[in-house]
Amino acid sequence: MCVLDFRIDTLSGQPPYAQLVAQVKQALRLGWLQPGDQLPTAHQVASSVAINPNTVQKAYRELEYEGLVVGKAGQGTFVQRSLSQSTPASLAALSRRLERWLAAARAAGLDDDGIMDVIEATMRNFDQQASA
Amino acid sequence: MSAATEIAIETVRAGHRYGHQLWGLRECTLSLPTGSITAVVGANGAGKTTLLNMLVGLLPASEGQLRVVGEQPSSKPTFLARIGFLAQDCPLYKEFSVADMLHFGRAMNPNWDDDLAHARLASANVPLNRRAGRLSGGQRAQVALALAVAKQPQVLLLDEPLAALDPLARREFLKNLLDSAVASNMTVMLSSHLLGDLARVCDHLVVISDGEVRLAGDLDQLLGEHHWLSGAPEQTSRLPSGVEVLAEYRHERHTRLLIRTSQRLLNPALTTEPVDLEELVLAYLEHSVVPREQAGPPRVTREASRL
Amino acid sequence: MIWTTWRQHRAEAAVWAVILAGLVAAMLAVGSIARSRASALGLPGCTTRDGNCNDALDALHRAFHTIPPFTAALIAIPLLAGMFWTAPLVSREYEAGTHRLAWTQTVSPLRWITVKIVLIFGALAGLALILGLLAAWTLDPLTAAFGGRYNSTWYDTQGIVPVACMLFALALGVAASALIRRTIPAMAVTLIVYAAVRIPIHWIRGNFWPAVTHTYNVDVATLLQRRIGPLQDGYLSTLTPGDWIQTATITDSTGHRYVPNELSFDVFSRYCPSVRPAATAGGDPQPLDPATIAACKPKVAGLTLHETVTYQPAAHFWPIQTVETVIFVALAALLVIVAVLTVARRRPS
Repeated sequence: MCVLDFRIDTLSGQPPYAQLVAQVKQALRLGWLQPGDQLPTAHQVASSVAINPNTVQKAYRELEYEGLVVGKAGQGTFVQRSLSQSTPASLAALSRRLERWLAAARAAGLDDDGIMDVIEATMRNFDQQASA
Repeated sequence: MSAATEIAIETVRAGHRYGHQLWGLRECTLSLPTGSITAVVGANGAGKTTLLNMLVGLLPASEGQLRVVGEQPSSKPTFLARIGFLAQDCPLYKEFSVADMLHFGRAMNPNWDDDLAHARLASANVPLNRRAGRLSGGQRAQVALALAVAKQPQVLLLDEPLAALDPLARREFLKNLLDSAVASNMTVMLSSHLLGDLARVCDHLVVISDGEVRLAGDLDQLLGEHHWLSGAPEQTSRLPSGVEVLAEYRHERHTRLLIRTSQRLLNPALTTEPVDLEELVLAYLEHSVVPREQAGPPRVTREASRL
Repeated sequence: MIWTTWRQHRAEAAVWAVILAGLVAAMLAVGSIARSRASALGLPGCTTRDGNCNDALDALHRAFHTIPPFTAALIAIPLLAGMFWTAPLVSREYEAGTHRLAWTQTVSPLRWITVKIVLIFGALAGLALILGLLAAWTLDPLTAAFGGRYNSTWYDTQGIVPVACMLFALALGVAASALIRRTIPAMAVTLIVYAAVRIPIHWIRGNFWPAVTHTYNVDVATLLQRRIGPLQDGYLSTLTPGDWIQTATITDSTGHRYVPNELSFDVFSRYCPSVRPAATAGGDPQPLDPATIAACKPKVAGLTLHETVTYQPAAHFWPIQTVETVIFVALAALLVIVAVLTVARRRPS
């Protein structure tokens, strides 16, 4: 039984290997992948869903670099740790701060879509600056 | 995949001329590593078939050089043993049965893996006793693929293998192709104008238009280097050096640029969006973008503006 | 490559096998019938054209006047082989696109074309040889009745010429196929060029070996007592039936030339105009009545005619065949080289 089915959104702007990384991380967050689980080999992915095996290897290397998986020579790639979200207390604190900002945004006249646009644009720029 | 930097397919300013005036391909310079899977994209008649036929030795080079696994394409058996070719429209001998086609492969190739061929056909559900002329498009492609793969080539070239296949047949074909390629670290080059399939399967890209290579390189790297940049005209006109503007779209209050750069852009006044594969290919096919050589400084580009 | 050649041409081979079986059966039938007829007429003992043999040979000639068309088939076979076996050989691959399959296997195009040529040419040349031997057997009893082996029905179906024609036609087909790359045009070119070469060679074949010239003296008085017939009957000379007479002139001591077919008429016109017989109708020799002969005899006493004959004796049959064979085989070799080089160098498709 395969632990995970990969899919590629072929015409999105995100590089394929980054999509696979994101899918693994999502599976970790949702608990579909547990530490100790073996990820499908590049060969298996290639012959089951026609995804380039180099892409899979790249994704696994990235995940390994981030410490989420570990590759054992001759055996495969295994999940090493789960993606923990923050503690419930800090999540609550973040929510409260966000509510205050939302009130300000609404007061400035933004509707839901406008709010999402600003959040997305700011997040992108923030991520770029953070990884610079 | 091995991290070896051996080059499996190499061309240096290669070109082929049909007759006196008509160049099918000119100034083609490529360098593709072992184990890569390359998509060759372009309109019909752009030069994809010319390139592939030159790489397998069916067309001579009128200028420049080509090297496939270190050897110049020729009609010598030592070269022919290293390549596998799936020509356009999957040519098979129509009066042969599928079993006859395998016998043909066995008779013509000393390095033939008969078990592999049979396994490929079994997994594709192709009946061995049916005449090749009575197979469906998908089955013909699978038989042609089995023939090409069972001779155990180091480099496999395919000319529009997906063109006549329905989506299911395409998916099955690609799974089969990748399965074979991975098992033997084969280098693959396939031409197509169906971008959706290529994006998932290929890790290198070559864009050809009017007989010239307009773009070539590692797919992830190319996608990472190209961006859409939007912002107010004053902002978009002041870009740091090292940013290559490939296309410019001017609107009333903002301008949109297609750029290529390996730097990170940190101007908060500019919105950056990724370029997807289709946009990337179209940009290089549509606009009169001057192609950049794989090794060397970027040339000055012309801008096209549209309202 | 041997299996590939066989498998690709298996269907053609089957069709030809069936047709040839019919042809061979026809030839065997004709051969046996000819033999039984000939022995019924008491012929096997006749080799010269004289008296009784004449009647028997004429009877045999009439019976087989229209030889069943198997000889036409035999003459056509090399051309058909060129058109249907080798004219499509390379062009079919181009038209179906399978050249891109065939020439990317681990067999060089040079080896591909060479093996095909060796196998197909070898098989069909062997076939031509066997058919030639069978034709020789079939036509043997009829040879004398039809003026010997120089008759085109004999000459073109026996010996080594059929093999040479086969090789030439096949080579023409494969060269056309390699150069033109379209089957129907290649077949048409094969047909036209084969005819354009073959027919003139047929006409000039009498010159392939030095002919023999002989002059005979004939006494006119004796001549008038016998039946007059066409020169080829060898009446005026001692040529053998298998000789091929190319030119014959009859002159007398005054230098006047006579028309061989109307010799007696001419003689009478010149020397005994008052008693000349009625012109023979239809050219059939008519006996002269003794009175006419007696009336003219004194006037032609002592007159001698000289007949100069240029001919190819029967013994020159093989040398002439050999020369013709050498011509066709040399052309074939040239065409094969062209075909092989064209395929091995593979111009752009």
